[in-house]
Amino acid sequence: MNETLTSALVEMREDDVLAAVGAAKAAGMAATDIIADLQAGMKTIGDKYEAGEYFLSELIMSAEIFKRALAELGLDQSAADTGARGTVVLGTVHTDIHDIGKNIVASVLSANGFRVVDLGVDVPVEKFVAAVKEHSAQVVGLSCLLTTAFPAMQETIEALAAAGLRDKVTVVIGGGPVSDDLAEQLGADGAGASAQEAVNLAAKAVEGGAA
Amino acid sequence: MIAPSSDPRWERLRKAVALEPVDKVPVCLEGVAWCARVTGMTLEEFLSDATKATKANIDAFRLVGNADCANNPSFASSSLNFLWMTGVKRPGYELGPDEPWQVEESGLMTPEDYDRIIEMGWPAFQAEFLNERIRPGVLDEFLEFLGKGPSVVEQAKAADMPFLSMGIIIQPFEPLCGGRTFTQFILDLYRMPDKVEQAMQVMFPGMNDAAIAGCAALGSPGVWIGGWRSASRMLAQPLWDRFVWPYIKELTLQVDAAGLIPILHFDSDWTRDLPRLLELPAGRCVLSLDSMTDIRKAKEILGDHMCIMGDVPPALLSSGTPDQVREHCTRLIRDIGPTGYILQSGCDIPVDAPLENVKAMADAAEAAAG
Repeated sequence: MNETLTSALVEMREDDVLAAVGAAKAAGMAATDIIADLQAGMKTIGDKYEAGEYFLSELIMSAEIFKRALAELGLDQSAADTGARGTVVLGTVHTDIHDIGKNIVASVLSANGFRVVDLGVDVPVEKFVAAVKEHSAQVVGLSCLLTTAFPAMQETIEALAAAGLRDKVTVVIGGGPVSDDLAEQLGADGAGASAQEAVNLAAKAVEGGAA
Repeated sequence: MIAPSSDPRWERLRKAVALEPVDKVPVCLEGVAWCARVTGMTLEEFLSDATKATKANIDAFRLVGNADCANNPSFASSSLNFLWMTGVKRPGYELGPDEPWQVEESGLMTPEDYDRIIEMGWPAFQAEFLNERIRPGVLDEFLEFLGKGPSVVEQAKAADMPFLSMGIIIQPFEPLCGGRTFTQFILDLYRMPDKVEQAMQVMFPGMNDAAIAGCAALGSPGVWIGGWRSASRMLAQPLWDRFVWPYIKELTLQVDAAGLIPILHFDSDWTRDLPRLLELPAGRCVLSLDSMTDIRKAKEILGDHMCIMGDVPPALLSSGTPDQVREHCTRLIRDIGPTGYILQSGCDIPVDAPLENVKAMADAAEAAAG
C-alpha cells in the first residue's frame, strides 16, 4: 500500500496525488497496483461518507482526481474496468432529462471499481434491455427527478422481466423523489439515497456484501 | 410580516410564524404545475401569462377547499432561467403542451466567466448571459412576469386566497452552480476557491435588493430564500461555511429588516447544519423542508426558534393513497406541530398528485384540530 498516494487522495490533495502517481510510475510500480492504491483511497472516502464525515463534494472531487490519476498513467477508465467488480447499466428513464445525480453516481461507481455503461437521459425502455444483454450487466440503475417518470421506471422493470432478464439483474432506483417504499411498489430491488449508497447496493448485488 | 387579522387563516399563519398556539395547524399549498393539471389547464397555458398561473392557483385552492393559503400565487419558467443560469425545456416549445417543464443544466458558464463577473458586475453579466447563452428575450419575459405582480396580488385578494410569498431570492452559490453544472462547480470550489469567492463578493451586494423591495411594495408577507444545490449534504463543511452560510445569513437579515418573513426554502438535506439556523432571528423565519432533511431533528433543534413548514413527500402525494397521506400528515402534525408548524408538501406538490391526496393533507389538519 502506497500510503502517500492513498492519504493524498483521501485528503483531496489533487496535485499531491498526481505527483505520487508519477513517482510510483517512474519507480516501476505496476499500473494495476497504483490503481489498487487509488481504489483503497476511494474505499476510505466512501467509509467517511457513510460515517457522516464526508459529503457529496468529496465524492465528486475524489472521483475526478481518480480520473486524472488514470490519465497520468496514460490510461482511461477502461483500465480500471479491467477486473471490474461488476457492470452497472445506468440511465435517467424515459420522459426525464435530469442527470446531475445520475452523473455523480456514474463517477463514484467507476472510481469504486465498477464498470459503468451510462446510457444518458430520457432513455427508452428498449435501450436499457439491450444494454443489459450486450454488457451482461449485473446491476441496472434507473434515475429520475420527476414523479411523472415513475411509470417509465416501472415499464423498464417490466420490460426487463419480459426479456427474461429480471432474475439476472439487481434493479436499483435513484433520484430525489424515490424511496424504499417506491422501490417495492415498482418492483425494484432497492432505492439509493446517495451515490455512496449506490456503490453499496451494487457491491451487495455482485459480491453479496457491503462495499 | 403578517398583521393580526380577523380572518382565521391569516391569524393561524401569523401565529405559526410567531410560534404562538394555533386553533389548527395551517395548511399551505405549494401547487405550481399541479394547480394547472388539477384544474384542466395545460402547462403551456399556465406558463403563458402570470395571471393565468394565478387563476390556476386560485381554482386549485378552491378545489381543495380547506387549505389556509397558497405559497406563491404565480409562476414563470423564466424565473428558473434567472435563478439558476440554466436552460429550461418548456411545454409548448421544446416539450409537448402538457409535459412538465424541466431544468436543463448544460454548463453554459465557463471558468473564465468568474473574471467576467468580476469585471462587469453581476447585473450586466447576468443580462448578457441570459440573452446570449440561454435564449434571446428570456430576460424580457422574466421582467414582464415581474411586472404582472400587482395584478397577481389583486387577483389573489379578490379571490380571498391568502398567500405567503411573491418572490424568490438567492445567494451567489445557486446561479454559479447552475451555470457551471453541479459537478463542475464543486471542482471549481476545490481548484479555484479564491476566484469563486471573489466573484461571489462582487455579486452579492445589492443582488437581491430589487426583489426584496418589490415584495415589500406588493405587500407580500414573506419572500423565499432558495437553497437547492447548496444543501449541507452536498458540501464539505469548510466549503459550506465559506461559500453558503455567510450569504444565507446576511440575506435572512436583509429580508427581516425589510419587514418580510424569510422563508428558507431548503431542498435536499440540511440536517448537519440545522444548529446554525439558531443564529437567525427568533420567531420571525420559516424553514420549509422537502422531506430530505430530518424534520424531527429540525423540530428538536429549532422548534423554539422558528416555524417549520413541510414536508409531505412528493412520492407519497403522487403514488400513495389518501389514507396513507392522511396518516403521514397526522404523524407530522403530532410530531412537528401544533405550534410553530405549517403543513405543506415537501417542495412542490407533484404535477401528477391526485386531488384526493392533496385534500387528505388538508383534511388531516382539520381532523387533528378536532
